[in-house]
Amino acid sequence: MDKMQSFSPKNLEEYHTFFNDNKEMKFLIFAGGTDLMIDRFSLEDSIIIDISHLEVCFGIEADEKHVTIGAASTLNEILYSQEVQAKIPILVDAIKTMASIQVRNRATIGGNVGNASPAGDTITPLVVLGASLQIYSPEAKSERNIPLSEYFCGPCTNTLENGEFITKINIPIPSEKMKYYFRKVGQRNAMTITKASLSCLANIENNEVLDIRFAAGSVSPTVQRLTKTEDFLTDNKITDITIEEAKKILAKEIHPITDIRSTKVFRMLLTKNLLVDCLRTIIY
Amino acid sequence: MIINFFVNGKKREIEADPLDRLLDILRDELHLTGTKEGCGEGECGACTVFMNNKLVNSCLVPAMHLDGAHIVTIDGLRNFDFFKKIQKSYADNGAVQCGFCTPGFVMSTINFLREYSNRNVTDDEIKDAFAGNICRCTGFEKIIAAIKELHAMNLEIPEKFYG
Amino acid sequence: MKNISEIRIDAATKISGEEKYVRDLHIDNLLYAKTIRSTRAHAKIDSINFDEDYDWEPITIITAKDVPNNYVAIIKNDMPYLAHGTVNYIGEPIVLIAAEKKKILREAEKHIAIIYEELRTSFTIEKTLARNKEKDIFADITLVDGNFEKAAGAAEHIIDETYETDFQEHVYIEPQCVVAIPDGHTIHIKGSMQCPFYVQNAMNELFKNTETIVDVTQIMTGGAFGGKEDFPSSICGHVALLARKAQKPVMLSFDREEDIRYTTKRHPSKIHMKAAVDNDGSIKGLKVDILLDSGAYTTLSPVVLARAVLTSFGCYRLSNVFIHGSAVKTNIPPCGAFRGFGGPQALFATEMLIERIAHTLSVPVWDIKKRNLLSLGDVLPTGQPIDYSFGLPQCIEKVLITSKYFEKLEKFSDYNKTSHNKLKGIGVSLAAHGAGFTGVGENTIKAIAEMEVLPEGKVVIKTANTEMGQGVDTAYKIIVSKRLNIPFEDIIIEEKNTGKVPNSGPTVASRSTMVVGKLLVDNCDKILDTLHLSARDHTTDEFKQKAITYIENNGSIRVSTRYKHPDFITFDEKTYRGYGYPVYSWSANVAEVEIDLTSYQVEVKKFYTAHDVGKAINHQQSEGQIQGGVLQGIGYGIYEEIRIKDGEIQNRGFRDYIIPTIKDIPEIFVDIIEDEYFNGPFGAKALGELPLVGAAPAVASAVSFALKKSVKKIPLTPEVIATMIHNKNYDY
Repeated sequence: MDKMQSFSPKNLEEYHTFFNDNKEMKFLIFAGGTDLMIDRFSLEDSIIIDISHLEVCFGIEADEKHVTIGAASTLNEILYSQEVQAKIPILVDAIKTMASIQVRNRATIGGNVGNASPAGDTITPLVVLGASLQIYSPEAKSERNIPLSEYFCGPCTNTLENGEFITKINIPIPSEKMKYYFRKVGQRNAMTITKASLSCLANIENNEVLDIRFAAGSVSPTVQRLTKTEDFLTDNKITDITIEEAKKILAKEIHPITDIRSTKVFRMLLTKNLLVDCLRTIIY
Repeated sequence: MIINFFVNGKKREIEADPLDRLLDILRDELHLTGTKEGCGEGECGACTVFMNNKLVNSCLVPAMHLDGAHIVTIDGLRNFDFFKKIQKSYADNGAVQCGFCTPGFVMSTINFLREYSNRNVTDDEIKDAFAGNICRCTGFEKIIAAIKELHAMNLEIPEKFYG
Repeated sequence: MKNISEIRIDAATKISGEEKYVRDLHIDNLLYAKTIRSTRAHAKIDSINFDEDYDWEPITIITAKDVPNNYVAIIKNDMPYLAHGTVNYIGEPIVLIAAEKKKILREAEKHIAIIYEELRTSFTIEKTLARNKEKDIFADITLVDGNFEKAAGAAEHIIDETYETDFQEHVYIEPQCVVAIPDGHTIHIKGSMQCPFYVQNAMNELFKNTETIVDVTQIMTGGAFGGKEDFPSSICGHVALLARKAQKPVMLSFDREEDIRYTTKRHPSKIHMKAAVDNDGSIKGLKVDILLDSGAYTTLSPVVLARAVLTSFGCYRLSNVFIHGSAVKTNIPPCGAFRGFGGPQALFATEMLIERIAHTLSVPVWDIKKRNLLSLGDVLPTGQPIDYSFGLPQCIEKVLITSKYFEKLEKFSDYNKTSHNKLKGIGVSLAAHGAGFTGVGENTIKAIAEMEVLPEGKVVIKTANTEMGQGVDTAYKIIVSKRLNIPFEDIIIEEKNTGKVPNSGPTVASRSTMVVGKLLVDNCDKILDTLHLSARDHTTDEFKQKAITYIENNGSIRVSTRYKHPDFITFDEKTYRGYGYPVYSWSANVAEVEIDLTSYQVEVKKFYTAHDVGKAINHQQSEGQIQGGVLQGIGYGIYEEIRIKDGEIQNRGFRDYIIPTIKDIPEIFVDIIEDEYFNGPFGAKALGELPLVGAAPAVASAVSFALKKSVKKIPLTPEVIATMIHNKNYDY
């Protein structure tokens, strides 16, 4: 790894300076590294930016309206956070299904989101939660806030400029009335990459949908809100008939592919089933 | 880069490239071969060590994150009293066959006992604690028997092993 | 005689991490090796080009022209160490390089360019067979008994179905690793392996007519399951060639991706079964056509095929059988040995055929099994009578009672009528595993085991059988401890080095306890005879005293026994008549599954098994072997899939080759039945492989029950289950 260059900025000022001196290079942001380390030999033409010393990327804080999680927070830190457990249980449900203790002690939410893989299991909950990302730009020397949907532009690609990275994830706290659902399906019960997953937040009263949000994982190039399905169900009751109709609309909103983990047609079937399972669960 | 860190309580200085793996540093440079490589992907858990008191896969930890870190491996735990009890329970219960996954399992066992001793635990909680350790020989049954036996002993496992 | 501890002799060091595997050995001046592999499935190698501007000085290079005798001696010797002229699969080794640091090798690889001229490929059995070339059939076996066509003509039903099984990768947690240490003209090989003498033989052939001598040592092996039976010969040759040239030690260790993509796998199978059945469910005739996908070279395919043929009658009394099998070449990495060795494929087909017969006649599966079940005294289609060591009836009784099989048939059926979220299933399988080598293979091996008594009264065991987790070292100590009445501390196991131990045969075919363990018993008796202790009523001290005195007066005590089958064990390899195996081990298995109707995942909730192993030398370890083998068989039945695209294995590692984790295990209930085998140590026969053989069929039987449709292929992934439920293809 003689060619490998890395830089571990101690603060944003340092990073800004470094960036200016090296901006023609390809910058690769490195948090916990649980994904990047597996293919580390293919990283040789980038400069590795190790964000693990940047204070701005750490911490889990909550006020009445938001929970803010530092991008370099590990999955286990988030899992064990009392604030997150109390206020964002859907994220806890998702993280519980991920990897193992050993991986969760190193993998970060910034990495999982930042990777922009449609199979990233923290992403669908964050999408239905309406999360936004704080992005630091070394060029502009400042942070800006963007909705999560504006971060993704394709499978494992994002809209950030070279050298930019996520510092924090801002999550609006859902009202306590909201029901939540997260389910992922893999090949086995643990340590499994998702074939398809579904997150849902809904406000249901007497079987009627007042407000509902869906996001499906591993079945589209990017994770998006399933707005057509949401629109159909909003102000509607959940019945066998509306469930059937919702399935049809859902099928038009997702674009699964065949890869080593599953087939296109199976993923379609699976996501429809998850929708049914979700709707039948959240009415209680 | 020059890294200064602690391994099993001893201060060490090594030279490494930023993405060199902790696993290779432990095994090849420091000759601590108790920790094994089974997959290099963070799936099998054979490379499990404690880093700053937390269980991690050493195959995924880069050298550039090691400065000032406290690493504890199985090589540094085998002389503790609680370790002898773990050793006896695993042996008595027939929980070892080829042994390659065993050090990783023992590390996870220590972590598990530290968290769950003196507390009730469900079968699901036990399984969750070991989801990151794969065994191909035993079918896990006798490993679980050993873990349950150890849990019932309410062993005292120190919060920190060295300093 | 006091109780002998069942605790493994290597448990403590394995638990503490002090046990050394090959990669843990500290070797000075070590070079690392890398294999440069073919990127084409079938092609002529036009040229191998080494970049002239690159500094090759620090790198040792071996190509085909450097190999003295370029074939890996297994059965047919058709596989080269390094491709010469033509490559036959993606991944085939072409160039070997070695250097002090792995990063040098990674860089060097980029400066080697291989130019190919592509040739026609075949990635399926069907395509190969359509070409009709004799050299593409690695093995062909026919077994005929009675007249199938006549029976078919007279039968009331013909049941006709084709069954499919997939590859399986061993996933030993310790990847392949071997090292060669040069010492003048000698090369010392140390490796993770099952059969040091297979490697020795291969090295002898490789270096024939040269000055090079090789000896081989097996180092503690972190799992094998057959994956380190034939495969190590090729990589040992690789490191030996590099070490010989560099005159420095060379180590080759695979990372997981390389291991999954380029090492041997279980042969996938397509088995066509046709049964002539009467209305009462009795099978009047059976026609079987077995096709095994062998990959690019022969390796052990003829023997895998042989076992598949001989397992295809299952535990049933059959006549009028016509069994044909072929092992077929395709341009994918060669398949090889894997626990069960043809048995799991064949037994799956046979057990699913029974399910299909039951469905067709609308009767419970157990009725068909019972009606056709072997009894003591029956004769197999090979002419072999089953008239000793037949514990199957006890296994069946035990497992049906423990599992409450019949009660659950009704209970689950009722449950499924009204359930929306999941279906429950209960299934049963009966399995047989022929113990030891097929036919009179043991008479060819002529295995020898030796023992020596040392001046201080301790006893040394000398065999080539290797500890890979199955507990053979401990089992041998138990056998000798019991027979001589001496403690473990007084028994030493000699290092498995080909210069120090005799060739007791390979550690395969579930023979290590039955065959070699018996030789140890015989050796013990020879020692006792020498010391006038044949009555075996002596104390430990008496043994020691007599031994010390004898050696003082007479020199050493060295005994040796060579294995030969009892005379009545004969087998004709052309007609396949006689004793396919000297004895069989038997199992009965019941699996309870749940199928989630949202995700289509199959989960095994409970697994009950009873195994007749003749005698469990170490009861606890035998249980452990059974639990592990069952789970590996469940993986074969539900989770494990190798995906191939244009001849290239797509799986990269644990993330996409799915084996069961601790969260996927059923409760496994094990019963051991002991119907002693007269020629095994204390009655022991085969154990190692049988646990895997019956597992997938039991799970498939349970799925058939739940879905009311008989299963035709494994693994039963969610995509396959969805296909079965909805009658529409959701699979690849």
